[in-house]
Amino acid sequence: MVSCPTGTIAMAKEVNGKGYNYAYPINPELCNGCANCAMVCPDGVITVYKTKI
Amino acid sequence: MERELRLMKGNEAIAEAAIRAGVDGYFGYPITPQTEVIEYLMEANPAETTGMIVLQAESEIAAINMVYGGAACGKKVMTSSSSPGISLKQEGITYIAGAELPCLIVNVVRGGPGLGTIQPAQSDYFQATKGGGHGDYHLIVLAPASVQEMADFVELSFELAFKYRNPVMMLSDGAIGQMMEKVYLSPQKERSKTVPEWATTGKPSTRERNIITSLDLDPNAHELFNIKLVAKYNMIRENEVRYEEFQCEDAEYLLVAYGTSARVCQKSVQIARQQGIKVGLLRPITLFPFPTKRIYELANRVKGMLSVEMSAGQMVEDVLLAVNGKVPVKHFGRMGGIVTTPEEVVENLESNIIGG
Amino acid sequence: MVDAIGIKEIIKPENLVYAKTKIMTDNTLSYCPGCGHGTAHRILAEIIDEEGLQSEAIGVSPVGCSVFMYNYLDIDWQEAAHGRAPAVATAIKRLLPEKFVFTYQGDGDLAAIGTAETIHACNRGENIMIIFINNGIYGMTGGQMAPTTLPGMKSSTSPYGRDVKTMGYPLRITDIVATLPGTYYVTRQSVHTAANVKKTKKAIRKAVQYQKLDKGTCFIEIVSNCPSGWKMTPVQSNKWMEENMFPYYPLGDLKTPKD
Repeated sequence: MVSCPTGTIAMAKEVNGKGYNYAYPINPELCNGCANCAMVCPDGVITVYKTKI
Repeated sequence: MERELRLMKGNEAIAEAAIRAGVDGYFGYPITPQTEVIEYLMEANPAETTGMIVLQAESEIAAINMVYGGAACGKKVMTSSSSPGISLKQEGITYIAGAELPCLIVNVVRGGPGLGTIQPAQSDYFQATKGGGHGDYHLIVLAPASVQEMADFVELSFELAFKYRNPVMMLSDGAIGQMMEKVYLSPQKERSKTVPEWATTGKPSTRERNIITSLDLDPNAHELFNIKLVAKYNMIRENEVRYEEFQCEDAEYLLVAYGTSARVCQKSVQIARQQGIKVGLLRPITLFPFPTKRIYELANRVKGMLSVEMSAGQMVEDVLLAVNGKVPVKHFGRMGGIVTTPEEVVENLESNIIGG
Repeated sequence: MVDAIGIKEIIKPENLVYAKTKIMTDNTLSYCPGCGHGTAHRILAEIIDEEGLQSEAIGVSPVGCSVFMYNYLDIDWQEAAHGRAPAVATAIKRLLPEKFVFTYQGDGDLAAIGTAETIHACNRGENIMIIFINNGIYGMTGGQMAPTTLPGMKSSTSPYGRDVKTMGYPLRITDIVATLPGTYYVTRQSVHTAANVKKTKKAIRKAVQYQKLDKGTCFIEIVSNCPSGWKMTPVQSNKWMEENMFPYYPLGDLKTPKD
């Protein structure tokens, strides 16, 4: 959200099993694979793949 | 094997024996009356011969934590200090016991409490055998009574420490630390290359990671761990009691004493017997495990026991527990750093036990 | 566009840009949401992975929020008593000099109870890496004042704000340590943005190299947030950190090698 330069991820309205609003890709089309989100994530939950189309 | 004969101070004997036993590391701090240990090691410079690390730490606290780190790597490591410094080490000692690590801690006891005095005493018995640090744990405690035992017990301590994965304390006193006697030294042993499977040495792909810790927040798991420790201490009580008897076969009265007090009492036994009193001496060599069974057996044969210690009376409580009310048990001992004389002991035996 | 290709086409090993390193175990972290510890752990784990140090690394964990660090990184660990980690690490490195030895400590551990151990290990120039997580508060025990708590900052033991007259000034321990000749590389970083994560990773990588070359103590302070202790949301806490912590604890190298 703060780290993502393209506005791809945001906090979900739903909560996960721990009771937290989790991060999820709200606009997956905007993702450019910079992996800023993954680098900053304290819980290390993000894996990033990038391919040419 | 040829043993070398030397005339040495008790403290120096510990240092020389440590080098010869292949100890990997010594971490200490100066304090009277045991500073000779680190001075001797620094001068001997075993880093050049055996590769043994000798480091003067910034405090006794740092030294015991260095022992923790070295022990967790599976190495033979030790420290030494005297009463006030041993008090500082209690936190580290309970961590070492809680992480089940092997090591040797030498306490050359001086008079206390507080800064006390630099003369010898035996007032750290409670601290050594009943805890000192927090939690349910025990140190194996060996009490040397001669410079020879100061040397021999180093190797023995590490044997016991690694056998049970438990810290071992050598409870000496300022008199034995400072006095000079002849001592036979074992030949140089090579430093061990075997690595215990629990030690942290860098995780190879062949095993899970090793974690050395004393923390467990799960009460069920932690209770099981404490039960395991209790079982370990019971095994130690079963198998590792050591003591020496002097003229106990026909004794009607028993002196119980360790360390310097035992040396004094040997003379007291001779003096008393010349006066017709049939007295014997039981010298515990292990203070934990205490020779409870043997003292209980002897309580069947004697009319009274006198616990002679340079303190206000600490080991006497263990003698009372062992005797379990069968015969009277009293304590005699000078404090403040004063060493009892053999004649004083006999006088006290006569007035307190035989007369009283 | 994602649908045009299909997820299965994208998720292939050759398309991987970033994945959590296998040095981080799959245990769920115990940290509060948004806490910098998680990020700091992960980049340390990444360096251990990238530099091939899994069989060489021996870590010493502190008493504090990160006491269970040994559950999160798959290397050999020793749990030290509060503040004593530099002494523990000293012995490990002296007895196993070829291993990569480091401590990971918080502000109470390193700058309160452990001040003597910290300063003396650095003074002896022990060839270890010390990672110092500075969030100006005692997290694990519920948010008490730390030696690095800022003046006026509220905590559970300074409920009216830190009063320098009775409680002293914040301790810039890193500055003190940088004056000791035994330290070789002293730096202050953060992990709250991707750019800073990259810088911190670079700093840790340097410390690994220097330890291999036997250069002396490498001391890396990571100014971090504590959303729970500071009673803010994670995003608020990072902003607050930038506006308040960084002016007092400026990021950057305090001591760089001369050669």
